[in-house]
Amino acid sequence: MSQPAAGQVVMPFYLLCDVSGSMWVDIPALNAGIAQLQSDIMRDPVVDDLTMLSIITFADTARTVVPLSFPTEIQPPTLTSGGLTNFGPAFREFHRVFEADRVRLKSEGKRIFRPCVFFLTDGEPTDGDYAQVFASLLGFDPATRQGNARYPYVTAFGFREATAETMATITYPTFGEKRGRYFLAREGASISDVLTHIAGAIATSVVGSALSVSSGTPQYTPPANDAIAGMDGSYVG
Amino acid sequence: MAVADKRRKIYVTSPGFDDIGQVLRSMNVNYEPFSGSYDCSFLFINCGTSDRVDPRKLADFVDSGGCLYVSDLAGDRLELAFPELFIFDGNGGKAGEIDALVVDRELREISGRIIRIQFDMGAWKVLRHCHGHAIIRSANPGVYADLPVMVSVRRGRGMIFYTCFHNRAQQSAQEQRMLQLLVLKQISIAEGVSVAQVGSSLGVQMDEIRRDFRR
Repeated sequence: MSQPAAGQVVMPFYLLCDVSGSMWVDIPALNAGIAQLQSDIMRDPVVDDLTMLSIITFADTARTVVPLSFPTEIQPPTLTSGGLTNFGPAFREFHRVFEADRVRLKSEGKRIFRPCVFFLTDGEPTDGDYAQVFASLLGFDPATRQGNARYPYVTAFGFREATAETMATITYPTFGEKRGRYFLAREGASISDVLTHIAGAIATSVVGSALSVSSGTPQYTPPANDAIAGMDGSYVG
Repeated sequence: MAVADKRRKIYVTSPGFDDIGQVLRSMNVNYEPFSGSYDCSFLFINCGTSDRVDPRKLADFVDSGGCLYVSDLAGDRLELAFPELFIFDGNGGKAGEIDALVVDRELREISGRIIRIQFDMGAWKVLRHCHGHAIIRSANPGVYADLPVMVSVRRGRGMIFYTCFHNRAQQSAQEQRMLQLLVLKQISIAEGVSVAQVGSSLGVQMDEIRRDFRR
């Protein structure tokens, strides 16, 4: 990886991973998926120069297990499971680290693209107030210009007990041309296969987004609605 | 009035630590005692029952479209009949209260998001994972965090329902109601109708159930 020049665009991607107790059986597939994702992204040196990736895990609480880094600098983590499925702490942690990352990257003279969040969960949130946490920290009202103008693109991936209703509440934005989309595993789909496909789709999305920079119009390229085997994609808003 | 629906042939094993028959009777659902035959549409296996249950016949019963209820320690039968579907973590469940998240959307609309479950005795069977869906999941932090408490698993043409908590003497109104809802849920899935429709067909006052959850 070569250090990007001052003024160069950097596209920050945040992977928010559910590691609650119910993910116990899926953790090996999740770890393998993350390793594959990193490998796919860093294969292209241009992509490696333009994108940065961070990994945040959440259960009872949330923590950043991989700080925002260029793909070749990342040591793939070995995640373990345990705890509840609290979404709120994940959004708080993302908000906290992105604000710090933004300040740091700007001080290095880089231009930062709107953050892109990939949110993976297998279930219904235990915390009842996660939607309020999301709205208060990350929501934006384009009509009044109130809220967080640096709101992220959030693409959500749900499987096992995750429902469309819940996925829709955390997918963002719900307005504009770049509406968020969420993916839900089909009944009976193998979860380990689904996780492999999600990792592949995220890698394709990251690479596609990075390559848009060279076209002069950087843009987030989310996975297509039918891009993930075993999952169905839907728009929100 | 008891419901006598031939499609709803129900067998219940002898009571042990659980007496699901009492829950069925509370909703005027007719059943017959289990006598070793599996020619029914619903089979309820009580925790602690002394009845002999053949694991192979149990698997055949579910594969061919039967709906099976199993509670707590009777999970041993599930381990034998469906070893690939259920992963238990021993019988080390401790006595005490837990808050539980009602995951099932249909039941949640009746019960609310969180209910409280009392395990009045220790040594309940802890379910670690199943290849199905949680209906209720522990919302307590700590050792039971996120563990499934009540689940449904599809297998072949049939369904299996397993619950870690069950009918007992000192039961809260909420727990009693949740077990009633579980029975309604089983019938609703097996017969392709809503829980409310099953409740209505049995003459169950769904508003009373809702009220008990909000007390």
